[in-house]
Amino acid sequence: MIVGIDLGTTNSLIGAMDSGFPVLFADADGHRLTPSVVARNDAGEVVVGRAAQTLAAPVRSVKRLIGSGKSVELGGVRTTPEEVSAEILRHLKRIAEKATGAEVREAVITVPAYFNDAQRAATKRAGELAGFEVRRLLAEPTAAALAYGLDKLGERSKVAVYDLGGGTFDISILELAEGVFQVLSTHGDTQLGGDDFDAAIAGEFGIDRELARKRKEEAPDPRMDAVCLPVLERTRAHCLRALADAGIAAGDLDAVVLVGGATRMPMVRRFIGEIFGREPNTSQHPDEAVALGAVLQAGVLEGSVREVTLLDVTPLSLGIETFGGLMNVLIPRNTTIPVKKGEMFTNAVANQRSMRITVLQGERELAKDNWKLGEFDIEFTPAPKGQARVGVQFEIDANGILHVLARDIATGRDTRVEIRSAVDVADDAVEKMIGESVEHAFEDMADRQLAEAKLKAEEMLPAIDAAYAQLGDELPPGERERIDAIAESVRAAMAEGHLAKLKKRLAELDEATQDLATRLLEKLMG
Amino acid sequence: MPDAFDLLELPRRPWLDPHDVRRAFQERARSLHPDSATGDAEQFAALNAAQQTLADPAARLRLLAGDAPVPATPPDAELGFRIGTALQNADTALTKHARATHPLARALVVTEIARARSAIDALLMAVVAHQRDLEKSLKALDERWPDVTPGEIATLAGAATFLARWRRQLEESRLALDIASPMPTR
Repeated sequence: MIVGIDLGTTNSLIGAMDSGFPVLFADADGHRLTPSVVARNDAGEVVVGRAAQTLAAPVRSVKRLIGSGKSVELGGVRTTPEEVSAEILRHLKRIAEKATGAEVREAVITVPAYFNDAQRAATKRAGELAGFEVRRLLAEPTAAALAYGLDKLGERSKVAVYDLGGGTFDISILELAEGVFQVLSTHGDTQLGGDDFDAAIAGEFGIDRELARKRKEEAPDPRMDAVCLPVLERTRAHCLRALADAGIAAGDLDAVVLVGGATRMPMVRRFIGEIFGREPNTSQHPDEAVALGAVLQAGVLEGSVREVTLLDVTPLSLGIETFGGLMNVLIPRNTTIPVKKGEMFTNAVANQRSMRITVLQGERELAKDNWKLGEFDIEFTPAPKGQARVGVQFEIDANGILHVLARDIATGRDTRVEIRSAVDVADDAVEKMIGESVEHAFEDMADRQLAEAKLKAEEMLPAIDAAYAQLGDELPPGERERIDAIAESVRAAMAEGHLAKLKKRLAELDEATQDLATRLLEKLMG
Repeated sequence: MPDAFDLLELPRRPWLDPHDVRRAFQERARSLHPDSATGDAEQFAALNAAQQTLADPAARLRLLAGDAPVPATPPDAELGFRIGTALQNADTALTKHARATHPLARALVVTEIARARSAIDALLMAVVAHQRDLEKSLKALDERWPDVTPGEIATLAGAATFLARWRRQLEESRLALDIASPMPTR
């Protein structure tokens, strides 16, 4: 038996196929949903789920840290996000073993589609720490599509899955073709989710996050919607990019499927309806669809679910750093996986023994703006310039994880290349960095604020002149004089270098130019 | 060794319907995907590469061109220059927009964004028109296939490569402008 696991930011679930149907397991209290919360009790034992919520200093949303190289503190003990995730997985494993009465060894675990190589590798490691053989890492929106499409295996259609969970956001566009689920494109943000709504609401109303979460669920109101809208707005660009990469228009979609707890909010549904120009499909259980999809993929792997083939993609472009600090893309984003791509390297000078290759993931042109996946060295046999050649094979497996093989062209020998991770910064080094920055924080703060205020003044003052030029004599009498007087006081405060005064004057200028900005926008937009 | 056409069992022709390519891929992926009982990782990797080649007209034509050298000069140098300028202007406008924190400064960039957008739109239309012409040439070539003049396919492959790159760059830029400052809806 292979189990399917949804390892969520806020909640986790586990299940397996039973007589041809996907089933999710409940714990002793009858709950299928296990809060992804870990803590230590007074005896120092690790406690997971509902029982952990009432203990002191519980670790929540650890998924947001996985693969980051950061550490977390669990009951006074410093540990890794992988270890904490492994505790959640062990707990789920026990639930499954109790429900089935058998030992559980193999698992399909879901990850956000937009997880990078490090986040995926760390999730796989967490599974292994918990005693699983991880048969597959499955993208969450793809899993949800599987749950959605299971009763439509004879059809051809195009669907979008909008997955807004507790801590991550994904949008995937798929083609369902008679049992083949082909992902055409995926975009997202692994640091955006319902947690951010809670934080925004908590800040606005001056309440704690737990209360914010309750208020969001129980009594949404226009003020709350207004606070959440900027967070929600951040998903728009990803939706547009996903459509563009899939090469289709919103009107070509047959359905927009919602999953993830945050899609329960009426304002989120309205927003999605507006982006895609159609009523979203709410047929799937927001909390359970991903777990059901993981169970179905487990069924595919163990052979109990036939007629289903998943073709997923790699969310981020993979490339190497070239001379001049640019990124040379080898496997573009949204390429179907598993995929292999060969690249030939030759020695640049005679008898060069090795060459360092930096592997990158991301969409930016400059190497330094992308995420550095790691480095490796390729070895050359001594030869005249351009004569020693090593072929390197970059392979992204079905889990979305990179493997590198080097082949010596002369000997034909393949070696698996170890990639040195760029994120494994030792804990004490991080602590030292944090310590240093705290020490300098006070003197930095005033300086930085003054620099920022000056920057703002330098942006606003020319903007006012430019606005005058555009608007000509369309200003009401006296307004120009009023604004000019405040602008003059800003210049004076800037020359004086007085932070408090400058901030106050800038606020006044902000206020005084509101009308001007509105007038200008109206004129420009016609 | 079987090439992309053999693997997908599609006719070795310059014109292929993109839907036929995707269907052929999905059909074979069903049995070759490593998750399937009859699947095989090596064979699937080859099928995947074949699908990527045939779905991209430029890559498909380069495969058909064989050893013939594919020209590295753009099909329309003047258009290429105008695209370069427009992309740069759009980039400048976007950088200014990203830096502007005050509504007043932002309003001033709106005109610049709008100007960049209409330049990009005009060029996008020009590139799409070129691509339509190319498609027509490919269909015409398909009619008289395999009667081709030496170097004809390589020339088309070169043009297709440039047009595809331009279109991708223009669409990316257009999308970035839309995201920065959505068109006013009336």
